Amino acid sequence: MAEPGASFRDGIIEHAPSLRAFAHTFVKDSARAEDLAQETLLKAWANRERFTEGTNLRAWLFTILRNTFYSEVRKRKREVEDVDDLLAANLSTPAAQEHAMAIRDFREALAQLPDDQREALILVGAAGFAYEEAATICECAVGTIKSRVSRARNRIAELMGDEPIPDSGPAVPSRATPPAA
Amino acid sequence: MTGDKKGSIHTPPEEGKLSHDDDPVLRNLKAVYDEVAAADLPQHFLDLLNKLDEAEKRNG
Repeated sequence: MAEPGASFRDGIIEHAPSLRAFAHTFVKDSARAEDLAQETLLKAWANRERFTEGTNLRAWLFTILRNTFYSEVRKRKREVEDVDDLLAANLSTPAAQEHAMAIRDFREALAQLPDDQREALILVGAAGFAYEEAATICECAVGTIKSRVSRARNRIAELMGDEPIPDSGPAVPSRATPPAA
Repeated sequence: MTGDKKGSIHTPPEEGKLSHDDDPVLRNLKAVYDEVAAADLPQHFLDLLNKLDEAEKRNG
């Protein structure tokens, strides 16, 4: 039998960049995000016997990350302020600053979403999970994920001063759709 | 009526997944996410994995 440890390790390395990306998108404070990614890695390693080879390692890892986040939230109910302003200020060219401002505004809006909407949006909208996979990770119904993603998109669009985005898929409770031009 | 703007040009999103076309929210989201996803893993991350791996080998 080939070394299961080695392939598990390879799997973790393969998915580590997207785990970190999720953590840093989901959690505004970058030190806290990095801790979250690292904690996920440790937990995954410690529980690797519980992973069934051949099943979806990526989804399993994201589930651990999510559980880690929520157990941490329960442990320490406190708000952490961010360093995004400093990051934005360090960029020199006007174009870079403008871009940084736009991204900062976006992160600001993202951070205002409830956790359940934010995680659904990032899993489906950035990490590339199908609605069904996201539903498994978040332990809820597919329709719930769809509705959370939809609400998250509309809320961010509103916060950033855009028109609400009309729903495109089925099974999403829709807002009034504007009449065709 | 021509239906949707680019329906005939772009490939439809994979079934069950979200399309990013013409959505500023999703474009921003991807920009934030991809910046980290594209970065090299920090050394402390790799060090940690190596340590776990070595401990594993020692313990058989």
